[in-house]
Amino acid sequence: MLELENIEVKYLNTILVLKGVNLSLGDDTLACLLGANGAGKSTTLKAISGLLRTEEGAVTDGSIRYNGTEIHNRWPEDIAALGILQVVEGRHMAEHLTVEENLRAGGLIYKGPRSQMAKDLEMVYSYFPRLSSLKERTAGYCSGGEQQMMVMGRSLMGHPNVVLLDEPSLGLAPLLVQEIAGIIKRINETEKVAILLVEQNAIMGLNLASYGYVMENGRIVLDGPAETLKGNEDVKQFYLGLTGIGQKRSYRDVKHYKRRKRWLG
Amino acid sequence: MEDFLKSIMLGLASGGIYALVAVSYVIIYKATRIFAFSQAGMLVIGSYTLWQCLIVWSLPIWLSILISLAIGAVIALIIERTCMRPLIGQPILAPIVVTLGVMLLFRGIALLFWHGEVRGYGGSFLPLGAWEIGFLSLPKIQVYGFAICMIVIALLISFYKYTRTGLGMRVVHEDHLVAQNLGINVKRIFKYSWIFSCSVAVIGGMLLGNIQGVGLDLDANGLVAIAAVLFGGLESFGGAVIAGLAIGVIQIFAIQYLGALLPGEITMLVPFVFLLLILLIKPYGLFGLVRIERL
Repeated sequence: MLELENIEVKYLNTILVLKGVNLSLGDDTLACLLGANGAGKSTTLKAISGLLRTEEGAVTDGSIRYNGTEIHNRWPEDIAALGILQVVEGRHMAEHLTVEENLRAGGLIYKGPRSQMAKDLEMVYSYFPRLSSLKERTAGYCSGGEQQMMVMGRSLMGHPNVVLLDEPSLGLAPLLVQEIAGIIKRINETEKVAILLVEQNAIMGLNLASYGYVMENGRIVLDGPAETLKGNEDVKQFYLGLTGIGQKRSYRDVKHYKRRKRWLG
Repeated sequence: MEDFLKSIMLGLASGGIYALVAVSYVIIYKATRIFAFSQAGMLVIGSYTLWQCLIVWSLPIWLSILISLAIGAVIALIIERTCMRPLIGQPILAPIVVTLGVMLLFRGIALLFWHGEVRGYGGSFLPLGAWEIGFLSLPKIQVYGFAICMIVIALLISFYKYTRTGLGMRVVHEDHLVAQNLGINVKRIFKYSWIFSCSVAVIGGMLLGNIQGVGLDLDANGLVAIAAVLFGGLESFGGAVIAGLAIGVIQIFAIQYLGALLPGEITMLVPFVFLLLILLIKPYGLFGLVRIERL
């Protein structure tokens, strides 16, 4: 159980980015975090995984607890050792190593028997069959979709309890987004990994997740079960691109007034 | 022809040590992006500590070598902890200049403890004599030295390639953020890199001391090795080895064929002139990493 209680995050001790975020993630739930650019979604994930510290940011108020222990203000490698792994946006990887070496690197954190590595590799290849034909390929020369699969597989190698997925659909073709969405669902269900998914693609996010949070200006403005959110008029209008009647909006009859949001941003 | 072959052999022998020293720069550069000038000073320290153990304390050779390596490792830990760790996150020039300072400090330490006098290991710790192969006579001391260099480098490269820690180190070489993200302790990897690098430099210092005599001037070899590192590309072990060997051969050729034409020790400059030409053509060095960029 991962709980964020009223956390406040500042960069360089001056720029206030998160203004009291509350969020909780059950042990094998799949939750999604929606929001526009700059709302603070990635910062929330970095606050959890500790990567904030490498960017001169800090949790200045509130607490992040994992199974009861406070983990904010720990180093990222210590938080990763607890089984909380972030898949950073933008597919960062060791570019000059091969795909398999990248996957193996993800397994370094696992402290169990050495023989587990081979089994884990097989497991990752079963989720992402395309990777098994790319084992010896230099990671930097793989396509965007392949790299996304690789970094997701890499986090699985570390036997995570919680995976923080930052924009897995970024810049991928629609078919590939569907494929990856299916895999995320399967990983959540069969490996019993809790996943916190940050998405701009709200339709995909809400379809996958069982619970959703909407973020704006460094605050959570709305949360609830995904089904309820999907029915919320504001979410429909601003995130799903649907009008009140539930049809896709056509540019021909765009309204010239804006619906006013019914939450406090 | 005889001279030619002999020059190549001699060049490879001294090039082997350049390669070793070049590798010690590359280890640190790859992990921390710092060009550690201090490793030139480590050559001096390494050669003097071996002399201290071997001649002053009359310890057996294996123990002397172990002690020297251990001292090298301890010095590595001290540098990493006191000079490098506080500078993490500072502009990259700061730690580089600090390593330059550390190099001068090493010279000072050598002056203080050993008065900068040129010493010898009382003969050699490697077998003397020479093998006669046809018209070539190969000095054993050079051949063994060369073999030791190559073995150390091969061990190091296989460590990086085949062990878990080595894999972690290679991820750190690529991207510190990715490494932290995967739970790899980057600071520990920095520590390992310094220890490896200083141990390699100490071995280089011992071999150089054995051939050229123990003294303060050994750090000039470190400067030549810098040429090798830049020539081979800062990020490549293979490049450092090839460039080290090439620079050794070029230097011997220069002495052999240009020495008579040029006054004084100008031949020492030849590797650097060569380096300049290479960098004009290939700015990343011969085997530097080509940045993978997506368009």
